[in-house]
Amino acid sequence: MKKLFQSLVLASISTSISFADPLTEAPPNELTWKTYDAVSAHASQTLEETLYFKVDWKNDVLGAQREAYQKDKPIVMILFFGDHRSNC
Amino acid sequence: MLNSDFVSLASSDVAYKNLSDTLKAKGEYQFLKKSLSKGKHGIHQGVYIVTPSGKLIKQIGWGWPLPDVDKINAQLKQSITEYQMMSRAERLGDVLLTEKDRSMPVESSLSPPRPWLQLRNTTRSYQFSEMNLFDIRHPAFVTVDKLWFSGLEKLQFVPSNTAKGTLEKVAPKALNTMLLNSHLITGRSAWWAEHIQKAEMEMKVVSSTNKQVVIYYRGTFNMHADSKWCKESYVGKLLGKAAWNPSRKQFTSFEWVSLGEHEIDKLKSNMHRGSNQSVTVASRLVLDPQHECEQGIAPANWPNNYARELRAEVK
Repeated sequence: MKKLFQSLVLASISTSISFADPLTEAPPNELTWKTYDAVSAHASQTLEETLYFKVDWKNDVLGAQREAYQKDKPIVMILFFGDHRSNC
Repeated sequence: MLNSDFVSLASSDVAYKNLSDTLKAKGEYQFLKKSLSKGKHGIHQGVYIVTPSGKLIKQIGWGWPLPDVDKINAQLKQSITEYQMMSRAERLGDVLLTEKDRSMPVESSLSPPRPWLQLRNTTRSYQFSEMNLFDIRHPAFVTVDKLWFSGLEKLQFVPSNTAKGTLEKVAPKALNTMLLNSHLITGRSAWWAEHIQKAEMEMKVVSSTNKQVVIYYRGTFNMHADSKWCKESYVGKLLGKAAWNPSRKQFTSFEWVSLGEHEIDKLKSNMHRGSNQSVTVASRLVLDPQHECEQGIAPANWPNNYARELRAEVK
């Protein structure tokens, strides 16, 4: 589900998905102050992953239906198990 | 497109399905049920486009486990076209839900006391042999969580003497919440206190003024579990930097970064693929940026794995 959410957000802005960096990075031999920034960057969310936060998400069906009715727009309805961290 | 052409909803199908019959009889649940009645599985995990009148336009999704962004983009555009071609009555119907139709109780927003240290945690594995997108350890996935320390607990990460050059040890117990709640690995494991074989951290004051104390951290961890619920080990190191405001008694910046080897003796069919038991994993903890959609969300293991006195402080 996590990748589907991310893809949905990317698709909505017509951006291609890029897994290149986290997939190909090899870990350093050890964590030192020299490797600190690279390890920190690897553990961080990518630009694509943070786009999720730019969407104005409604948390319940009632709020979404009300706004969609008033603005005459369709509803994109993501249903998942868990919360916005989408770890499940 | 999501903000301009749609109203975007993200919610739990399970929470709706678990409502009482009384709440399910109300308008909100009935709208959801009607909207997805022509879907493959009714109210179920997925991405759907529906009209405010409660008509399903399309279920979105293309490609698994790696969705096809271009095809999803086409589906979104096609949904907008279909919506615009409908009559006003078909699009909107004649029901505008109101508070009396509410089925899902308004979420109680958890908010820790201001002096608490609220961290946000992201964790990602590195590439490993036989990696597969089904596997939660795949580096395409980042695990997100929160980690809270009470106002008193956070003081354990500030040296008692803040003069430049001071080197002090952090009490091992102060690290339990981080280690036992799996903040240094992807996924969550059932760690117990006795599984922590080594948890050492020292902190050093590298600069100090009346306004700011800069502290560097260095930690070493060794965990090993052989219980019915957890047969895993973790060996890792942590480095970190933080800036402490002594007058406000708050961290103004905070970052802990860890790198370690996480080994799972018994891989699980619903989470893992292949035979690789050991992966290198990186983790990062920073001050919680309080993303709007994550506000009010507690750490994944809250309240069970937090001390009773801490639970009592959170409203």
